[in-house]
Amino acid sequence: MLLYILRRLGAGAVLTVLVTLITFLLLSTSLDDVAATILGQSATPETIAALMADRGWDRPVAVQYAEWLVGAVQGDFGQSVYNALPVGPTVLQRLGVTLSLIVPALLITVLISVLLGVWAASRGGVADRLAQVISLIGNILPALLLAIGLVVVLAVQLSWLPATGYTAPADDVLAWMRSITMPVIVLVIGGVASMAAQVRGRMIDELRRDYVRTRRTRGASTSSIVFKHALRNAGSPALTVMSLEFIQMFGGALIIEQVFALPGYGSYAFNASMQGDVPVIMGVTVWAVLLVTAVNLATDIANGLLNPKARVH
Amino acid sequence: MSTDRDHGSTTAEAASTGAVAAGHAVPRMPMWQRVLRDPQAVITLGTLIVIMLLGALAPFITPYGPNQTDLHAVNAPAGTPGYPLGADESGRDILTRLLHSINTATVSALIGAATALVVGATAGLVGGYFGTRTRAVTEWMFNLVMTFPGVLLLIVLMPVTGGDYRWTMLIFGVLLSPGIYRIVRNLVVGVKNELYVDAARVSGLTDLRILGRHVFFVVRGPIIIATAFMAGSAISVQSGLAFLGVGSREIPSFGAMISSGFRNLYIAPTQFLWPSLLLGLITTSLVLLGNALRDVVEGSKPAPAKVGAGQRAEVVADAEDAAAGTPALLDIHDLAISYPDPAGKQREVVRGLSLRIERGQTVGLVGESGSGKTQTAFATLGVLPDEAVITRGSIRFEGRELIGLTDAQLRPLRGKAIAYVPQEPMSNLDPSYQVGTQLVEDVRWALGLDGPEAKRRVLALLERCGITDPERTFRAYPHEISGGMAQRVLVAGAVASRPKLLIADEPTTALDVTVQAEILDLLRDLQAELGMAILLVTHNFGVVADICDHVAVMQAGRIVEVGEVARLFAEPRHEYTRMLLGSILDEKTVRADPPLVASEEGIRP
Amino acid sequence: MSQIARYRGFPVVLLAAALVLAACASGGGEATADGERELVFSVQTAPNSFDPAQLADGSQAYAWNSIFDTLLFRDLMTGEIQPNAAESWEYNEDGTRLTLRLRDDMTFSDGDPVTADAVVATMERSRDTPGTVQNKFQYVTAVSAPDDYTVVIEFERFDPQFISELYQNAGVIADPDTFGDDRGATEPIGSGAYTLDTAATVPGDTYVLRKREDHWNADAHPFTTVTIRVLQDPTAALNALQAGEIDAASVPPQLLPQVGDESTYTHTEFPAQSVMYLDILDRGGEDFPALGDQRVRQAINYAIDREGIVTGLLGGVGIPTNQVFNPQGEVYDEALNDTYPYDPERGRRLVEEAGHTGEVFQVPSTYLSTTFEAALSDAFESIGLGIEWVPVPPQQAQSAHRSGDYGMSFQVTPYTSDVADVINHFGQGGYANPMNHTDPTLDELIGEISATVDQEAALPIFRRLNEYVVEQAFEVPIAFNMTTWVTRDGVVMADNGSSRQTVRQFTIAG
Repeated sequence: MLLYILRRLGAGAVLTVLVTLITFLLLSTSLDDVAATILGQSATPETIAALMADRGWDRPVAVQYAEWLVGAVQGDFGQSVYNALPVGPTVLQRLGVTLSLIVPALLITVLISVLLGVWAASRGGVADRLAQVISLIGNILPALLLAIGLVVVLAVQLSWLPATGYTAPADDVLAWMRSITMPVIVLVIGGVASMAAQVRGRMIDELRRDYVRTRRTRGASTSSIVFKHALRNAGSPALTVMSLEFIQMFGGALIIEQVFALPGYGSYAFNASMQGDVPVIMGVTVWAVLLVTAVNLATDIANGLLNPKARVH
Repeated sequence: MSTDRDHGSTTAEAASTGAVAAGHAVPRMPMWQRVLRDPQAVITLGTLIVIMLLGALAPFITPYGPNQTDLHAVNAPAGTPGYPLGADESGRDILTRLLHSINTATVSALIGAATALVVGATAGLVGGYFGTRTRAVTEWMFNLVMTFPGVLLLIVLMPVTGGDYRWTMLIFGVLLSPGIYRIVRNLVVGVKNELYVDAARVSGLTDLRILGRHVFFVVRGPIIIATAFMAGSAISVQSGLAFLGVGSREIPSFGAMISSGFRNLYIAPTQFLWPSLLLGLITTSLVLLGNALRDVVEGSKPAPAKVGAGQRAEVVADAEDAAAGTPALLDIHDLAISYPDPAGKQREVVRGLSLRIERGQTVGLVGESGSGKTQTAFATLGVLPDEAVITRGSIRFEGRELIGLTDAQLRPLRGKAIAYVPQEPMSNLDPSYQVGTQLVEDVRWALGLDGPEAKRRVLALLERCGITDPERTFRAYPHEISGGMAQRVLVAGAVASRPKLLIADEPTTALDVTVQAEILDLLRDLQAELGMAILLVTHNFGVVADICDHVAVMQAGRIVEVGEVARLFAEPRHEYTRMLLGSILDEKTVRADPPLVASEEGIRP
Repeated sequence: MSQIARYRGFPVVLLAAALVLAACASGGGEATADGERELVFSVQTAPNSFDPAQLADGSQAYAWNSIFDTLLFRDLMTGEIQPNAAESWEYNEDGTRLTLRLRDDMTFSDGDPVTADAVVATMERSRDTPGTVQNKFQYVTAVSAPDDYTVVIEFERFDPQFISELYQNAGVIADPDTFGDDRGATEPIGSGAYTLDTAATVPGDTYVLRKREDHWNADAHPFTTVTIRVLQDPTAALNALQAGEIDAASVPPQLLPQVGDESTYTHTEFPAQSVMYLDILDRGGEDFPALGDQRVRQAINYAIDREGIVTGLLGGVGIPTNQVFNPQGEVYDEALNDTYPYDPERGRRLVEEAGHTGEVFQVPSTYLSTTFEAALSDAFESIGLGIEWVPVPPQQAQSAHRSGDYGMSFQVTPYTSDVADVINHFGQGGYANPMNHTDPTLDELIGEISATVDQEAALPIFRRLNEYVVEQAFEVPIAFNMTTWVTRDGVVMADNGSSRQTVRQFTIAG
């Protein structure tokens, strides 16, 4: 088990190096643009060359990457070329914001999706159609429109919740809950739309399996069949769906962060990309790859717990 | 361990197995014909075609260009002459821009999906067909692609793509390709070892031609489904990037229009609405089309029914009409069960079957596959699938009508008076729980025992059913034990309550010949010990001769002959019985129908 | 059916949770009993580095302007240059030596006194460090401190722009102790009226400034705490303003009608904060011969429907113009604004005369040009020319402008001072003139300006230059951008459209 985890982490590390190398190669072509952007109106060929030399951007790409890699391995991801803030701590801080948004959203999404999906699959008829309509509406309803509607009603008109901004849970749990309520609602509605349908499908498949029929002939109760057996078996694929939903929310948080002005990972990455802030983009990429690797690993381990066949020994 | 991360691919993989199976079962109707018969596919496809046509005809529909401005029409409301949907913040006609945005979306979908198909299918063919080393390389590469945070990459690469959405979509297509890669790779691996590829190889076809001819034919179904979903993702991503302002503002697109409408939300809210609605319509249509295509290829997923509602019956059961005298243990009278065929018409698979079983009798129900044996057994147990309807007749157990009862009403009988041993032991155990856990659940219900005592009882039962190391089997998961052992476990669970009637549906068919005999011995011993009646569903007269005292021969949903075993073997009266008896020798070695389709027996047209 | 009710209840549960959370709502900056007064306002771009050699102008200045004292200050109402950290300043006759006399009561936030040595050290470092400030010292040969409170700056030749740089990023005084240390860029130490509260600050999102009550100019800063929030999305900024989370925000014209109740909000219009123009980069026609032809340049000026753009695209919040100089400055000449009336017919004839009909120009498409691209394309078409907008990502906007690949680019340039504007727009090496075009008339006029130390005396030359460049049509000015600040809760603007970004723009009503 430990060996397996180590092997997966090792593969993740190799992957990270490859991905960052590719990213660095692609970014290195536009370092002079970055210098020009930093200098703004005072950019001339001479000042650009001077700045490039000062920052060491005129050296061979391989040397620059090796230098970055050596630093990164030691936990030093360099500093932003624009605001000189150390990348490592800032990425973690931004990651914390986004995760403190996504994790509750995901948990609520899973809870509602499971209830809705199980309900639809085990009751059929009107319940099933209702669940499908809910999914469809969630799919069509633009997240942006929903976000704006919530802000206008709950924040501007009623002043119940903050329209913008973020408070860390460590500072004030209640303020944190208030600051993430609307973004979480938006994420949950989008998430439930896709996830409930998946749970429903898995449950329908599961409820038609042979062992369910056999359990019925043995006098198992409806709730035992639905929750103890079918849901447990649907859980393993649903977990994979959940990890995908997590990664999707992680990527999709950007727009939500923009609308609610949350200092999250998405907007950090987006701004860095738009400005060509190379060390920040590199840091953002590393942590994104590490996070995805970790989520996948955790999913597989959790899958093993749910599904004895997939258990690692 | 499953590391399959992509739901597009898992669903499509499921679709592929369905397609392969369906390919054998369903008479070959061209796929497009089947698509045209599915209303959801037709409506969504029609919607998409109409939308695409509108986009293609944009120059003929509106007099403006997509970026043509009229400073006097800035933020013109909907209905302004010349601007049916109004004009945007730069005085551009919204209708015109909507129509041109359709073209952008179409191009995005085409580029994204086509790239994913070309890259994914090529790599999948190579990775699936050639040896493990090649596969390891492609696998590694696609894992790399999948791990990269997609949207981030597209933004980072903007200097490389120059912001041209077509290049962006090309890259996005590569990001989508792992889904296709997995579908193709899995199918190729599956198909590779099938006979016809080997045959083709023997006949001297080159590798490439083998791949081209045979494999593509198999993968096209799942790929068409995946394409619909990928087209939807490509359009969504293109819109998202355009909304964020990545790429050219000159290109009319839903994202750019939504972004512009968003800026003007308070002045002209409808500017935001039109592109959102059309984008929603397109992506939703693509998703629904994908689902419909999947239904067509894979066979539609049945609508869920209420669990525990009991099987459907159109019979008004007259519970009063109890037969005079002592009722038989099981009395099935004039039972008819029908299933809908693909066209939706009801087709009877059991047609007026009558059968009596007295206490302690062992009755064999014999017939070819498809004759309705299993359906009769299911109906008696109350576990017919949701599609099945009991159209007439009655099933009485000790004089009590069973038709029309819900699961809750049947529960007092189930696992207590009536028990069931299925055909395929592995699929009838819940793979997620230890064998012992499942048996304890049975025993607790059947005998009302609590924890430790139930466990003791289970261990005793396992031992009684011939399992040498009951403790170990108790802790094992179903996939850790052999088929024969699993069947013993199922028998143990069935007889835990000393049932009055045991319904065994081909209990030995899925097992090795030597194990078959052991299970039959076990059943016979238990029958003698417990004095229960057994309804043994089988296609095998050898089994009947071995264990039954009575036998009923079924053909096409009816019983054609009933009698004591010795009599029937000695002088079969019905011609069909004679025919079946005549084929015993062949049947013992070769079984014609695949064992897995028991649950579907009788459904096929 | 009870289950339906249960599941349907979910939105209700969420709503109920929202209600509970709502019970403890908090407002933006409000006065408290003990005279504490907080200001919260929003900007669109986060401040970059606080390294004194890397300070950027624009809205980033709000933060560093508060942390560092600048040597001079430009009056927000009159536009006059005033003493600040320097009590007085004086040029020698030919403008090659500038002597500044410092106040003697300034301290850095770590307690060290501010002396002339600190000024010299900051300036020398900025001059020697590649960065945003470096080229402002291009004519400076030496900086010295004859005594503790006197700074002498020597120039290779008179630099008419330099004095106006001293109220911008080139005029800051930083603590030399921080120079060897990376932390200076993120935990700055200055002598300004505020210090950066790094514990409460979330870089890129929220910057919290605490007032130094012992600052020499504390009276000019009414707010005890200033919080700058970075809200990139203008709609988000408006929402925050309406929800009372911020006291002031610059609101784009489209959103103004939505602000609401006049009694709650104060609107302050700054008539001209920047000029929006289509910059002709190849004024000599080296690579794009058409642009070297005065008739074509004039034709483009005739093609632009400036009124239409202002009403249509700027929501009426702007002033059409034919010249680039600040309408509140001395050089601006109202009469010149009739030079190029909207007359595409005339433009078309001029293009035909010049023989360039049908030519299509590539122009970089940037986030600045988005809104105007369609209107400009139409304008070019109306005189028989064409524009092909080439998308350029933000980090390449600057290099595209300078690359020489494009004959024109769309620009929005904020004002600094008239002198700086001349150099920027028409001088060799000026930002708007990256191909360093000049001609004898320009050489002569700019030469005269550069040689005249007395600004008053130079004014007629400035005016002649303005007239000349408008007639030559070196640029295609479109409009002055107005900015509207919306404030609430007693915060008002103490500014007459000075184009300076400083927290001193905000004050308390009454």
